[in-house]
Amino acid sequence: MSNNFVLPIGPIHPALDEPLHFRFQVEGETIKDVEILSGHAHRGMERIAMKNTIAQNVVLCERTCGLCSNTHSMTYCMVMENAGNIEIPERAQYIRVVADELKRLASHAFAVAILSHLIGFDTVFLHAFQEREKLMDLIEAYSGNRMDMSVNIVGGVKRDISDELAQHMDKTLEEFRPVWDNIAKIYETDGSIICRTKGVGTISKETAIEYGIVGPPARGSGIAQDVRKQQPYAAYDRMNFNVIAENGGDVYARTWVRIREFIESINITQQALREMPKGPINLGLLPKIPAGEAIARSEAPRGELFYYTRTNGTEYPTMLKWRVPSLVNIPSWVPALRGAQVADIPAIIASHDPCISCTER
Amino acid sequence: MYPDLKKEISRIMGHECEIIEDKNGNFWYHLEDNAKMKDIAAFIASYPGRCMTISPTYDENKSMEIVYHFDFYEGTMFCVEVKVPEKKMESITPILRSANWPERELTETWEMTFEGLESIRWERFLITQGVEKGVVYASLSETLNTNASDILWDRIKAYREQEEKGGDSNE
Repeated sequence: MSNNFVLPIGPIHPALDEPLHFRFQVEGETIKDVEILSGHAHRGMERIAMKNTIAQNVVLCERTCGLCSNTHSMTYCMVMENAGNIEIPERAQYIRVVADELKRLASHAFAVAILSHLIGFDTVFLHAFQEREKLMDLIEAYSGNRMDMSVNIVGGVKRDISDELAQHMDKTLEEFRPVWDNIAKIYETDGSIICRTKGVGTISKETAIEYGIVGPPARGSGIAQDVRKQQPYAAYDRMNFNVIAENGGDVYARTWVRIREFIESINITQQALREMPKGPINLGLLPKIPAGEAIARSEAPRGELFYYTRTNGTEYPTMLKWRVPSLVNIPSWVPALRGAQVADIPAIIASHDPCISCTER
Repeated sequence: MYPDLKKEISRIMGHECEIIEDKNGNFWYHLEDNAKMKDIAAFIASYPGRCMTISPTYDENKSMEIVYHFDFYEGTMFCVEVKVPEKKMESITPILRSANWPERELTETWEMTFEGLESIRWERFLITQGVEKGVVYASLSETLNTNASDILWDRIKAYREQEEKGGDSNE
């Protein structure tokens, strides 16, 4: 009897958090090849965006994704500000950094927790999720919402951070350091985590460049690319932080990048809170966007997020297109999964922290 | 080191070319000869760079254009605008693999044809088979349409009518 068979998984499967269909060519327990099919939840958001006004699209874009929601609305506002040649107030630039980093912290904590759960290490899962809940409280304290912060508008932000709240955030973030150091120590030294993650689902630097992957998966493969440094936006050019990169290219490296970036994000947020200048937070009423064409990109928790627009001087955009990090990261799963064991499929996929909600806008 | 785009594009085109820099430092080039796109892709791949995405758009005459967005892992972005009135281009995926999903996405959502793009098992990869090509972006209710009927509601109405008439509706 042949050991070769086809193993279909998804789009609905207990080990998959999101709807994707895989067709694995398997020899025994080893994956020989895989085909990936998405398209189970396409929402046609780009079509809707062209029927919405420029102001309405801030709300729409924020709903592309839950974890990266703030980065979507911010990058959309950035592309419109680029099209309109609009300079936002300095305080708004700092507040955008704070909001963006809070969401990144929550997202990275989520990704690390989920990976731990999938490899059966639920102690770290519970620990990371418990800490994430405190971050969600900070997000709620600032914006009133847990997921969609809804603070960005074209021309700045609509909600200020009081001195009292800034001090509370600063203090709470400081308390995260020892806790997160502890999670990092467990992840770095625990034998059961290492044996399930090291050397698993490896993507070499050359392959990462070939597929054009972005974000923590790219940095886990040794590509020190981070939009916050490469093409700074908001107040990132005034922030002192390191771009984290690892050379392993495996599940371990991708997750380790997120764990280390957590500490960098705490540093960035605290800097922004402490150095934030006084002043206005927006330009008042929605500025008029003239006819033109613009692009903008930012570093979402999952990687580079890109927006393109063409405007015609009316309140409706001629074109709005956005490209999310997961869309370029998913094709690279094919080389990552080839040669891996069937049991490692969930860990390899989770280590890329995919978002099908983003991919199928 | 960031490439000298004016020099490289002029070399590919065989004459001096104008590269426009926007206020954010991104570079733009308007490509007249669509056949040269593969040579530009080869230059991007050799650097090495990547195709970030491909944006569809319309010019003032409602004729279709696409914009290739490239990145060199440093500095700003490089955008190449191409007019595609026939909605047809040669695929650059064989040269620059990072263009694979962006090309497939445009194939489905804008009915673009990328000649030489390898076919896949399911034909579609982003939009469900039930939605006509090129009319997408379809709405969520269309892509996720499930067969619904009024049977349950009709029965409730029938019971209510029966009740109003004084009959027994306790079924």
